[in-house]
Amino acid sequence: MRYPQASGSSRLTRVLGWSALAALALNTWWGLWLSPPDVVQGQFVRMLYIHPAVATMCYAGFGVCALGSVAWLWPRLRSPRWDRLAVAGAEVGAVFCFATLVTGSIWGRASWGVWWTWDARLTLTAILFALSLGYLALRRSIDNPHSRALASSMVAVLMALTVVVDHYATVWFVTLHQNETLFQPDPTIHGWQLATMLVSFLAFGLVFAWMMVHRYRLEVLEERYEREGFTSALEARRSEALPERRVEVPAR
Amino acid sequence: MNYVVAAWLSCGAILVAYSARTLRRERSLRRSLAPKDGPRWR
Repeated sequence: MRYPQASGSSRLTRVLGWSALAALALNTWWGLWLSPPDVVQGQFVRMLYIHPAVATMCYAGFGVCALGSVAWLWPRLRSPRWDRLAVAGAEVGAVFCFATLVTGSIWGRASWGVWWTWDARLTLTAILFALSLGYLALRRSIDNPHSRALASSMVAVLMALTVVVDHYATVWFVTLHQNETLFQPDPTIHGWQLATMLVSFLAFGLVFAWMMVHRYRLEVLEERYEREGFTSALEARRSEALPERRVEVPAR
Repeated sequence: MNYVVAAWLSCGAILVAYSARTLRRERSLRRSLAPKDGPRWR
């Protein structure tokens, strides 16, 4: 019989965790010291080495959530594993979405002079964050695992559609937010800036993977805790219902 | 430069806070699920 360890680390999480820390250290060194200031943005370009990577991980989280949800909805593939993957993606995606909003707001204040504006990209990201919180709240409000997975899958599909609209918001609408920097035929970024940005994607990608593994494991443990807690409560109730053995006191 | 530092620190704080919370929850559940008379924690 395998007993759970107090520590949740395994070879996979140790490798992922240390690689993520090393990549983050490299990203910080290059991003804050080695990379030169930009001709247009000056020192503010250093926010480029966190914000786009964090936003991409937010999309990745909601993408994994949608993938898990669609797989769960598919009758042939239906398994609790997909539902666990979906909730892990949604929660990690929500964390990265919050970080995207915070770092984006600070960059907006530095570049545009305002903390917030009702720009299409910003508004859609805020809607996405609200949807992710709704998804997590919905899961907490339904006890039945099947109903919970079914209802949350619908929200996950809606979130995935919002991700697509959010991604193309700078193309489809007139926005203050700049267009894509990296993924275009002739990237507007070169040299140290390009290298640092690529390192940032690697670093936050590793952080994302580490978080996903731990969040998935947490879901497995929570399910087990609920199951075993229910079994022990049932046993306690049954033992209460059994007739008590009374010791007869002989009459004088 | 203050904005840059604020952005980096806030991003780090959010990710560290969430990671710490996840690890704490995981550790707490592992302890709860351990058999009371079983082997000691590794």
